[in-house]
Formats: sequence, structure tokens, C-alpha cells
Amino acid sequence: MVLILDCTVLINCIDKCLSVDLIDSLIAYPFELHIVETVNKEYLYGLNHYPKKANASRYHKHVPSHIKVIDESNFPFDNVAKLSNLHAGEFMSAIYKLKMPGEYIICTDDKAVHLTMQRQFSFKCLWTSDLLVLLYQHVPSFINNTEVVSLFEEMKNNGFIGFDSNKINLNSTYNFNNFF
Amino acid sequence: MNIAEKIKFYREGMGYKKAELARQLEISPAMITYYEQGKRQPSLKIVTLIAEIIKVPLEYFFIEKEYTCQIASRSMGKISKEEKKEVADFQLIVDNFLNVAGSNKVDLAYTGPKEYLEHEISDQAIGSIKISLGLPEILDYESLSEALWRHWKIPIFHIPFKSQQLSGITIKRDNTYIIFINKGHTLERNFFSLAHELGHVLMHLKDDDCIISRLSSRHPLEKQASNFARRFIVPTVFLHEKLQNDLPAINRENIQALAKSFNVSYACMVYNLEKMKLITYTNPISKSDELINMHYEEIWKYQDFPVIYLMCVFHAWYKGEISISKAALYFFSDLQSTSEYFRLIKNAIANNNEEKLQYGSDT
Repeated sequence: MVLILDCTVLINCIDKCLSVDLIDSLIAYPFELHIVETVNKEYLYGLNHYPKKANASRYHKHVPSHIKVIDESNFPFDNVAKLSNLHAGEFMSAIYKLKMPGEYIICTDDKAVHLTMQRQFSFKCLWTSDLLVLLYQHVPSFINNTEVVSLFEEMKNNGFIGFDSNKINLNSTYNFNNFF
Repeated sequence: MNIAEKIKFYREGMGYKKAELARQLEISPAMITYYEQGKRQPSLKIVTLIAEIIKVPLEYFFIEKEYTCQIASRSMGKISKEEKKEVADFQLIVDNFLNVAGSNKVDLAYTGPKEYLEHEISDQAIGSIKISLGLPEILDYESLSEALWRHWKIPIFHIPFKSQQLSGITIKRDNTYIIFINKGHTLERNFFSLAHELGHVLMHLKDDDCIISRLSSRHPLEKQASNFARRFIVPTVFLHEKLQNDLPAINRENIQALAKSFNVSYACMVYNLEKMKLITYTNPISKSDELINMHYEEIWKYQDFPVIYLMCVFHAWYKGEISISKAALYFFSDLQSTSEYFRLIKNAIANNNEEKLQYGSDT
């Protein structure tokens, strides 16, 4: 299974969660983590321009060894008009998902991506908070419910860039079948 | 138009040569020709990059509607590359604004008078205009700016321009007028520039177009707008009265005092006195020693945008209609700063704190 991460997720997972590196946690699972080239550039731009806000050492630790950067130079533009409310990284990530249906999931905290993918293409996307739930559900010994909640709180306290976070029930069961 | 034709149309419209575009795309100029002739299909990445470089929103390459990209067709003289890029940025803001205002059902249609189009505006008409804007005879930048939005739905963007020679830009699109004023100049200059742009709105901008105003332009339309502006902000009757009663002698100190009493620059007051034939430009006291172009930072801050624009972008993002990165793009800012600013707006709304909402952090 491939998780397509966007810039918001990288910021949330890498920068905002200080005590635990979520990418480190994720790579323990049978997930492949992909980002499109535009997202990579966005993040590198952020590193150069806002060094205090982004975590260079964590990022460079994972790219490209654990996070694969996808060459997007030949992406098709069939559904572009439907995605015109998205921009740059989110836009290219959505195109990538459309190009690679099946076991490819976009993980984003961008509400516009969630709505667009759901309404226009009936694809569900994954919120960062759901990632935490997944971490909890798949290998309970690795991370327990208390840790999930404290991680989530820590992310929020450190400027979690997400939506509807209060509505996420961390005790709920996440059904992966929704994605296929 | 198909994509090939659109690439050519927008490239030429925005004044880019094939070689220049090719250089920025790091491809050969011949490849641009192939794309424009439809002999090669550009990838999405290439179309996205072209859209970014020539500053035309990506969707306009794929939808029927054409992007209005006339560049200041009525301005005087040759437009520099820097000015073109400036105008293209402002065109993007207008496009974004119309987008988010539409989705929020905010009506930006101009509600002011149209009877002055292609006519001179008399002093009497200036009085009527001030009444319809609910303004007193003597006013300042802030009150004029607020009245234009409140009464006629003209939003003012008070932002530092990259090009220091530009004082204001007015863009008309679909019965909406949007004025950009160069914050880098002094507030007194801004006041005159705003009245000058108002002159363009009332007299000149009939069709969807854009007018750029430079310092000391001699174009007839610019002269007409400046003549309107000087009478609008310094009413002749009041000036006469002041000269007769308070300050009969024309010297540097008195001109400064007059300028201050009308909230205008020294140069603007000299301009008025010259029109009244009380001073000539050959007179040494007509020379102003004020700073026209201050050394300013070109960084745009959130509070430089009108509150209505901030709120429209915020609501569009909040409802999930635009992505956070697109919202950041609307503010020419980065994703994290925009997220932080939006969080501040959310808190301000939750606390019903209007002050925070308008003048919040610009981190």
C-alpha cells in the first residue's frame, strides 16, 4: 500500500510532533511513502526560507531512503479542470492518485483535497489524525491508545495544521476497505 | 481554443518571447513552437510551469473562458518587464478575489456612478460625488479608502509595489473595480494616488482593462485623472478661502502648512497653486524636498489586503473550497504562515475580537 503524502502532512508528521518521528513509526508498517516532486520542492523551499519552522535533519533522514520522490514530469492532464481548486503540491498529489488508482491513498490534512477527491472521483483521503489511529490499530504493541492521544495533543499544541480534528474519535475503528 | 493555441495566446498576451519562456522552462525555443503548433503534447508539469511563469491561473488553459490579460493598454509609453510582472501579480489577485468572492456570495459589483465616463468632471460634480460617498469636503486617505468600499464596493489593496515608479493600478473586470495603491510611497502621496485612480474609475475605465499610473506621467488620461484628483482632495473654494484669510504669502512654510491642512503632499499643493496661477514651476520654492520613493520592503503583509479579501479567502478555505496552499498563494505567502494567520482569524472570530481580525500577526 502506498501513502501519498503532501506538504501539510510532512509538516505535521515531521515538524509538529517533536517527541516521536511519525515517519519512523510509519516505516515500520507495510506502507510505501511517496511524495511528488512539487511537494518535495515545496518542503525544500520551506527549509531554505523558514529554517526555524521546518525540521531539516528529520526530512533529510527520510528522503529518499524512506520517502520516495515521484517524477511528475509526464503526468497526464485529463482531469485537471476538476482539480482547479487545488494548487501545486496538493494538485500534483491528486493527479498522482488519479494516475495510480487502487492501493494508493492520499494522506493530507487539506480539506479541499478531501472534498474534491470525494465529490469528483469518489476517492477517500486520509487525515493525519487517521494515520495515528492506523498506527494504533495495526500494531497495538507499538503504540497504545494513550500514546496516540498524547501524540495527537502534542501535534495540536505545536500548531497542527488540520481540520475537524475535534471530530476525530481516536477510539473509532478505521476501515481500510473504504479506500478501494 | 485548444491548449496549444492557449499557450501561444497567453504567452504573447503577457509579453513573453519564446526564447525567454524556453530559458525559464529549461527547454529549447523550438519545443515551445512545437507546443504552440500542436505538434508536441506538453505534459501537465510543463503546462503548470508555463502557467506559473506567465502568471495565468492553470485552469484557464483547460476551460472555455479566457483569462483577461491585457496589460495596461492605456498607459503611457513602453511598459517595463518589471511593471508587467507587477500587473500580472495584481491580475492574479483580482482573479483570485473574484473566485473566492463568488463562492462566498460576496457581491463585488461596482455601485458608483457611470455618467462621468469619457467626460470631464466639474467642481460641482465633485461635490455630488463626495455627498454620494458620504465624505466631508476635506478628507484623508483612510476616509476615502473606507468610503469607496462601503458605498461603491471598490476594494483598495494598499501594498508595497516592486516598481517604485508606479503609484497606483486600477483593474476593471466584469463590472468590478479594484484599486492597488503603492504603500511604499508616503501616505500623502497615497491619498493623491487614490483620488487619481478614482478619476480613472469614473472617467476612463469603460471596458475590462487595466490602467497603470506612474509618477509624473504626461499621458492625457493621466493628466485628466490628476486634474480631477487635485480638485477632489483640495477643493478650490477652500484653498482660496485659506489663502485669503490665513496664509496670504506664498512661501515654503505656508505651502507646507497648506499641504498639512489638506492632508496632501507638498508637491500636490504646489500643483494646485500652479493651476491657480499663484506659482510657477520655475520658482525655486515649487521644488519639493520630500521623499517620493522611500526605501521600503517589498514584502506583502496580511494586513495590506482589504479585510473583505482576507475573509473571503479564509471562508473559502474554511469551507474546503480551496486548498491551504492555494490560500497561501492568494496571499503570496507560505503555507505555514497562512495556516498560522488563519488560526488567528479563527480565534478572533471565536473571541469576537475585530481588532485582532484586522491587524493580526503577520508572521
